[in-house]
Amino acid sequence: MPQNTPRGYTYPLYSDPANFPAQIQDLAQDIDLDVQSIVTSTTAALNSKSARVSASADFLMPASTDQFLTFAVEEYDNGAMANLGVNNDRLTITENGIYLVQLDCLFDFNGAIPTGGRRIVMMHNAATISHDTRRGASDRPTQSSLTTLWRFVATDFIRFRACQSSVGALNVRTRSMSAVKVAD
Amino acid sequence: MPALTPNRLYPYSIPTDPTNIPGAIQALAEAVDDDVCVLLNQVMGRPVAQFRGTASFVTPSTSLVDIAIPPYPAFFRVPFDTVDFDTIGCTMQSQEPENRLIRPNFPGFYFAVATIYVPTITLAGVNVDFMDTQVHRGNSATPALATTRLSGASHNIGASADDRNVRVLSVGASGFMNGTTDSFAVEFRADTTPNVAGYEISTRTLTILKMTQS
Repeated sequence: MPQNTPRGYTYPLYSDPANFPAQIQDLAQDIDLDVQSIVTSTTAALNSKSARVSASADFLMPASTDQFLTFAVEEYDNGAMANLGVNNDRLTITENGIYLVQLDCLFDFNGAIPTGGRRIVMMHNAATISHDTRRGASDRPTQSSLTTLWRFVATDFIRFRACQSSVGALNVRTRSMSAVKVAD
Repeated sequence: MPALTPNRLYPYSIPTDPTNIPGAIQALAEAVDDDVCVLLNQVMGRPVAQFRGTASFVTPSTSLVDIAIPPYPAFFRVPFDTVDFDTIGCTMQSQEPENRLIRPNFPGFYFAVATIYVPTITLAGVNVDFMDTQVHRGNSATPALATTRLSGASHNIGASADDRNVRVLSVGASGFMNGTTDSFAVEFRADTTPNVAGYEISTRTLTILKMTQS
């Protein structure tokens, strides 16, 4: 009775009837299936689930009012995380794991004094993951970016919230949000 | 004539082959060995590269500052001079003005971190109103043309003694690179009152991680 190695490779015992072509075919095909499954797993691991969305059209930001920024372009998405036609303010996780998340935006200026601050917030569903704050300027844009590792499960979503505390409204111009899986 | 397995094309004997058991086992073993070696060479740590600029660099005049509106001109790019490590396979383009691009030679989605050490300005009577670091995606085929901004971080207050006389500007970025022309560029801009001929910065780095194979 042929036996199998722990990985499932079939081999004949000394007491088995000699049938060399069939036995080497069985062994070759077992190894073939096993190695191919390793190739499939390796390829998946080398292609981390990744997505990046961006927008360049102005997003009006009232004073001292938190807003979820919206996006218009799916620049890259090998994990079906972006679906801007349904939700244009988020990336939705499709595979459990730890992700490297990155946000960036450029606040325009409005000439208002006091200039107030500029804040960006990375959101995991309804909770804050991380945020960045910096002093604004009345006569030049302010750029903020944020990078964090965070654990997510499938159906979780990531949003990009922003706020500015000058005395008037201003625009957020170019902005982006990305997520890359880095570990299970 | 041996047959081949469907996926990895390993040879195995069929009943019409001449009986040569040692030869058939050797052929199978060698095919598996070759294949596994190729696969193992692909299983490595995440490809990563780091470039460093160590020589002092003086920016163009601070009168040129303009971060508000694309296109982004090439003259804000900072040069690099050292490859700390590179398992991606990147090309450090000419680091002369109007170029200063770092091109990954393989397509994929990349993550990058740029840092710039910005000392306190030493010119008397000069106030630093603004400084920033940006990561851009340029085109190595047309290096002098404007680039696409991937991310940036600005400071609306200059480096001072409160920073122990040097502030480290840092920004992360992500984006797809096509492996042929898409390239990273790192920019530094400063605005001063009054304008000065240039702002001297010290060490800067660009660290790149490859996240996907295509």
